[in-house]
Amino acid sequence: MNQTGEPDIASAAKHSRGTSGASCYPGSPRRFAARDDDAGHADNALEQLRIVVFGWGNDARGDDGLGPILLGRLARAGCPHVTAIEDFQLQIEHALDLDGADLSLFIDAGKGMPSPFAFAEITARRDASHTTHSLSPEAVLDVYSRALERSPPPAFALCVRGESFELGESLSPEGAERLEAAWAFLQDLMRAPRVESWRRAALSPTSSEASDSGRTPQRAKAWT
Amino acid sequence: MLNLEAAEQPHKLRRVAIEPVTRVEGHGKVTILLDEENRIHQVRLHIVEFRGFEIFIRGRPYWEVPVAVQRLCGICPVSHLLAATKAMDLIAGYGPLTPTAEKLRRLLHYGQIVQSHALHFFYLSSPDLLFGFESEAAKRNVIGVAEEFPDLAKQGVFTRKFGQQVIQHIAGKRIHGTGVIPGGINKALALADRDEMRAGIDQIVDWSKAAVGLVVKLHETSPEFYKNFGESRANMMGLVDPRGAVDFYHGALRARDADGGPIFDQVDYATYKTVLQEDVKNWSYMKFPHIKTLGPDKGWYRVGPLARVQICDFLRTPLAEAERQKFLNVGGDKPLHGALMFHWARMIEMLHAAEMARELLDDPDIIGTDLMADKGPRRGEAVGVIEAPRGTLFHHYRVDENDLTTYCNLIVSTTNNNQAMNEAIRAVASRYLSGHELTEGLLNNIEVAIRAYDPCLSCATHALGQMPLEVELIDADGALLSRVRKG
Repeated sequence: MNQTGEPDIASAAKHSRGTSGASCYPGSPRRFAARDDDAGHADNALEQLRIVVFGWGNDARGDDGLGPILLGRLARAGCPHVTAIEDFQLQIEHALDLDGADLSLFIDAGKGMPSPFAFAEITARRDASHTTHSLSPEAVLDVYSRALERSPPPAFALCVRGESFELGESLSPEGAERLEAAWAFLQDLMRAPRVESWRRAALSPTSSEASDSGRTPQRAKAWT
Repeated sequence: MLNLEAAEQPHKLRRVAIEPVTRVEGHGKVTILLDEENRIHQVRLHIVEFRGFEIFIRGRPYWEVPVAVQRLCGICPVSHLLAATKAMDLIAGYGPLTPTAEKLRRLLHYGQIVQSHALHFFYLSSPDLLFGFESEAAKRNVIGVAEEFPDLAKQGVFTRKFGQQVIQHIAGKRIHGTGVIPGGINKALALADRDEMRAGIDQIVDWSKAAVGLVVKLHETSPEFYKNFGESRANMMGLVDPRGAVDFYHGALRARDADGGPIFDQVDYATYKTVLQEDVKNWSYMKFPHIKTLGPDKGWYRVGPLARVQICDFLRTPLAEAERQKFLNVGGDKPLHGALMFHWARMIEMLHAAEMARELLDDPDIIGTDLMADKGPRRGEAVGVIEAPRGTLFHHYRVDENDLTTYCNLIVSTTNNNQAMNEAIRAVASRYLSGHELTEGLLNNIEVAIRAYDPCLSCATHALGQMPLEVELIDADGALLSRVRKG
């Protein structure tokens, strides 16, 4: 059990067997309906897909735990094609975790982001975080390019807006509410774990979709 | 000694703030007070650090503490885990660890030191060292390193990965690890995991040796500059074993003065309060510890690589000890105190930790299954100390009859180095900035001196979009003259 009262990733791993990639989130994605060409993908193709998902932050620091909490829920859902990686901060060695992935997702909490969360495709980018103890997702992708001398897998970022990040705090009321919105969105993503579907999710959120579920995903601005 | 801690008439001076300092862990701010001719009158490093950490720990059952303290720091959770667990070994009443348990903990620690030192050198500091401190700002980062020294950047990534691999195999997970518990270790090392680490360690030793060679090469380009930049004569402190060798995991306290003379030796760290005193100053959140007998003005000290390789009598591994001897030759019969000498010392330590890890991976005990010590009567109070990558780390606890933690005192490495870092940046400011028109490159000189200490100001949190560096120039009336942001 972690600081948030939710089982941690290791506990989740014990329950992550026995479901296929296609069935761990049954149903069609509601938010960004798959097109016919996506629907043609066979479940067995999904089962061979490898998605690496990072959730980072400190669950002892209020809303900083949003990323690990979402990651924990994802791990407990038991998708064998998903590799869930939790850490306090992103660092250069995380680039190597992406090796062999078909798709990657970075989940974090952020300040000053759209509420309740932002979702966007990201690409390798050199930024100032390159020389800090805590890298941006784009910088991790850049390290991948340089260390492995090839393009990183397609990558997306889900950033949930947080309000308070002090040591010893639990989730803020706003953070708790946004967590549920982000979780619903994340489940939709996992029902259609394909690059094109995720790109549409990043580009196409509309007010009608938001009103449908009370969620208002918006395209993320640059990560740093 | 320069007295730039407090200006006589600060209200008549203009203020430059470097906030936050980049490429260090956490948030730091440097303020500089200047007169009309850009002469420097006051320099201070302010750090918002670890506030509330001791309170965060209080009230928790003692067996939870080793896991809880890992949440104190995003980059060195293993250091806190080990220091806290050493204290809780005693609180819980355990006797000496089994050979396998102690060796696994040591291997874990060496893995952490390798990965921490690798990150600092390959990614955080090498840009400064390779391109100069006033080089084009855009190039003074890892991109430049990657372009001109591509193998160096790769080595950094793979060395970090090796360190994380060690942590995962022994602690159980990269973070929130539960493998280390009061009394020992809760899981034997699998043979396959040992073999995986053994297969990689020779490469890590080779890269570490090459890294020492690179630092030496850089030093040779300008020996006097490297020796003197950010020089602040300091007392030095660290853990040594009974024979006087550096011991990162366990030992007794030794302190030497700036000339290498003895201050104290083989002091049981459980009695640290008899030799150290923690003071506070009204302009910093961070404590200022000092050696009691010398007082606050003369008793401040330095910890970490530059102190450790100079207070010890030897390093136990041959390659690292040979490199240490070359390092000591630079200073002749006197210790070295220049901030940039930290990098050289740090790479010697990385080599030492890699050699020690290799030795342990070849030791049959490392895959033993006798993991828990014998248990005796419980104690109410204990201290755990290790040499973390950045220096000596103290964890001190008291636990009540209900097993709840009632007292926690932490002295982290960066706190131990607080005054030493302040003195280093004052030396740099006085030498390179005073009387000059301030430029971003000149201000980076200040940051270079701070980065050399690899301060961990961690709060293990982060906020996307925050600016990593902001410099404000404020006149004597407090009006903002200019502001520069980067990142």
